[in-house]
Amino acid sequence: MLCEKCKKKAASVHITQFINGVKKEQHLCEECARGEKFNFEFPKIPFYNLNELLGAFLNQPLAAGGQDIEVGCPNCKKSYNAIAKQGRVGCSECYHHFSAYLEPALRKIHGADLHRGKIPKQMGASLRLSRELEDLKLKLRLAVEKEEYEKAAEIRDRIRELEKKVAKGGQN
Amino acid sequence: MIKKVVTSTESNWTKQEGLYHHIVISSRIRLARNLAKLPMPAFQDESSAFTVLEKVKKAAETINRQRKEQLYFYQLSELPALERQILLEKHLISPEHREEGPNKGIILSQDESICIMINEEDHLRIQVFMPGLQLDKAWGTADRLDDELESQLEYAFDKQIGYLTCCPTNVGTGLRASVMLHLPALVLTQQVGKVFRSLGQLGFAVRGLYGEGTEAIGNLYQVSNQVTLGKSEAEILQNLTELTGQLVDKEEETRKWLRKEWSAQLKDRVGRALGILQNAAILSSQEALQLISDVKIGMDLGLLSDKQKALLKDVNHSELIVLAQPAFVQRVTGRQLEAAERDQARAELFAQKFGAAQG
Repeated sequence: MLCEKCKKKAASVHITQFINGVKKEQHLCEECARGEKFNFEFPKIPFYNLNELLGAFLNQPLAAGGQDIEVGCPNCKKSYNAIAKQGRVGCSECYHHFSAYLEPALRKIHGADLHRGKIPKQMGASLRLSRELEDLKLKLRLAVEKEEYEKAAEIRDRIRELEKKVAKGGQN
Repeated sequence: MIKKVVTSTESNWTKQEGLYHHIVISSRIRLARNLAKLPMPAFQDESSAFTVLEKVKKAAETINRQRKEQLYFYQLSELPALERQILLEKHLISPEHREEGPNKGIILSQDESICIMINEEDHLRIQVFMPGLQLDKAWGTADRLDDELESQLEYAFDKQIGYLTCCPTNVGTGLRASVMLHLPALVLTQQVGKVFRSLGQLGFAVRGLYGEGTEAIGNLYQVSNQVTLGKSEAEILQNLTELTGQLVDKEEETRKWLRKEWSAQLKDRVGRALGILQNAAILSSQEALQLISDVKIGMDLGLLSDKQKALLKDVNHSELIVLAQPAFVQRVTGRQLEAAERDQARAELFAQKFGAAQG
């Protein structure tokens, strides 16, 4: 087979391209093939910005019992559409006002919907206590399962102590 | 204070100490925090941005009275563009934070272990930098500073979903922990792609520190946690610390193999790299980063001749990474440079560092 382009040398490079589903074959000699600048790269996908990509994440179909999408956040007045478009919330209150949309999104992103980390000292005195209680109760159960009764008794005493504190209104 | 920050290649993270510091260049903790009810940076106008800036500035002044190590506040619009670029090149601020804009600020500690960004994507981004693998220590510093700030500011927090952030991907702990790794052996043996693909599945994000996409210039990578909700800070840090340990093992193992099987080639690389660094008249940032990586692996594996060792006695790889950056070169020469001139200036700087060949 002769090269399609120069029609002099033998074709040694065979190129099959699919562009938008149309097959195109070319048979060239090495020299002519080098001259052709083939673009083997993937076409660049024009994401305008990453926020918009994330916005797609937030664009949940109406969750059951969801708030009206037209009503903005009572604190910052931003609509859910504006938030979904930017992939960013307007203010801290948006998380409460739009929880029906944002919580499913959080589950999708993080695979979880309960914070298990640090709690601010200022606001969290009683919350920290109740988390600690939960934690201790779990430890108690494990200790009993392992028949570590001495340790279990210790934990039980701490739980009683904490429960008294909680009853007093979570003051440290 | 800022003058030293923008003229010296030194920073707390460049100290080359801490666990595995021959591979783990640095550890960083970043906490996203916001003030309750005030519009988030993505939607704030100038006056509400100003309110945030003033509140945080005042909080820093108040906590300074109790602090041994003082914090310094700077409004970014008052710093020249070149200095903002240098802050970026030292990894103290993000590319977004460098951009022109009113009411953006930073709060720095003298040793540059702390840099809080104000009005970046969140109202506050508390950052702590340490050399080597020291995520727990960095977290300790960030946690204490967070407590101090919280005593002065009303944070946006929800007992169900934790710290509320501008972008839902940071909700929960608001914690992004990361390590900067130098992985030349994994790159040379083309294992890096395979290793990193599996990290994605484990919930870690990997990116080249410089360059686009997966390509990393200078064999420098940053690995960080992706999930911020549903795990405690301790869990997140432990996971990343363990993973980093495994990556270090893998890199070490490969280095040992390279040293055994390819020692002549490695020595050759080091010698050539040094030759170029000493003699080049034009040196791009990209090339400089690759060459100092080649020199570093030779140093780490003890492949240097006595003469080379003497030459590299005082060379700090982490600081060279900073020195290779465009704005830094510009700063040292003290005037505006075109890209081509900058490459010439860089070549001179590196030739000085590595003791230019005679004649």
